[in-house]
Amino acid sequence: MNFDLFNRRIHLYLGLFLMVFFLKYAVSGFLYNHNLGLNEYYKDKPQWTKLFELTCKRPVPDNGDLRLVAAQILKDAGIENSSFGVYRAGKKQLNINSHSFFSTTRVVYFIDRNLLLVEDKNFRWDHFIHKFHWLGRYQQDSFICDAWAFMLDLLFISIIIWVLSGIYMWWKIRKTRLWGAIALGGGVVSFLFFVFLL
Amino acid sequence: MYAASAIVMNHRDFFDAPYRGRPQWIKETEKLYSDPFPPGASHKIMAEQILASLDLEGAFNVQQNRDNKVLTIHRNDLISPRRITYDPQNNKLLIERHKFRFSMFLRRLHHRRGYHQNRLPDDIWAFSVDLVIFSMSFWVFSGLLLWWKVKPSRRLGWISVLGGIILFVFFIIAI
Repeated sequence: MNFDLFNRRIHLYLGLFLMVFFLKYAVSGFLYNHNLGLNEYYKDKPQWTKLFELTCKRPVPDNGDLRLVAAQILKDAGIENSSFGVYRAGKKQLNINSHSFFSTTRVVYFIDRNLLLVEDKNFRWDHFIHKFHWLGRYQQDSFICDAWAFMLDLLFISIIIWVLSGIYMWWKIRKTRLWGAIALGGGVVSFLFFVFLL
Repeated sequence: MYAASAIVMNHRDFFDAPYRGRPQWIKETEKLYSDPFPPGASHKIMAEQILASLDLEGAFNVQQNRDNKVLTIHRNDLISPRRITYDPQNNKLLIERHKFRFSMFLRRLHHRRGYHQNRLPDDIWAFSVDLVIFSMSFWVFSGLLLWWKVKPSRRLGWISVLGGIILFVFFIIAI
């Protein structure tokens, strides 16, 4: 197998294998770009459903890793999603959002009252698709999220390979060089123009 | 650009580690600002007026502190983002610039989107994002067609397509 054939095969089979992963960014990107939040449709519907309250006495450090505390609190509340985020909402409150693709559970820890409030977010299609864009990263310390993040790395590296192998294939076809150079140059120039303008 | 910035975001800890604990903002200048605002002006109008007075017009977002009424404007310049803090009690403006970091620059490019800024350059950028999205979909479907035309590659192609779909569905359910 010579390099040209190898290049074409890599371009083709990587593309076919990662097609769905690539498309998920197109669909979710379109929603983000148009802010199609379906907010109008959902505006009169309740966003959250209360599940339960629980007594909790976990100390929360003023300066320190909140993820450690959040992981313990989620365990206390019996929530086992593999992905979560945590932030302080003032001195007396800790908010933890635990995600799967199909659900989001919010745990609010009222530190001074030693109370956990656990709520489920009501399902929304737009939020489900948004999650295609951001859910699951290496920071989550779970095997499944690490595996997902690895797949995303493979996709991002593949996109770069598609670009480079595409440029190589284009260069091999002499007849398209002029128009290709115009397209490529035009893209680069307009990109730089906007980088400096915006 | 999207591939490179997505790699940066997927490995955020790695790219952020060298800068952790270091100041992110550089003070550019501090000055008095006493121009009156129109009665009942919203945060957005106040921010637009302040940015115009500084020759920093462009995409921004703005927040106001409920307690001390301090206005914080983030001017979302792709290369040199600025933070402008307006203290109405002392009529003071503090202008700070974000230290340039290539990884942050890529993230800003990635996050720039939408038609909500009501400025022509931002709308054209948003249109180019739409064009990228359309092209991504086109590449997928034209790629499928090109693959189907090459008969010897069909079997391995099917394995690739189905393998990708099964893996994708597995992750959606498992995460």
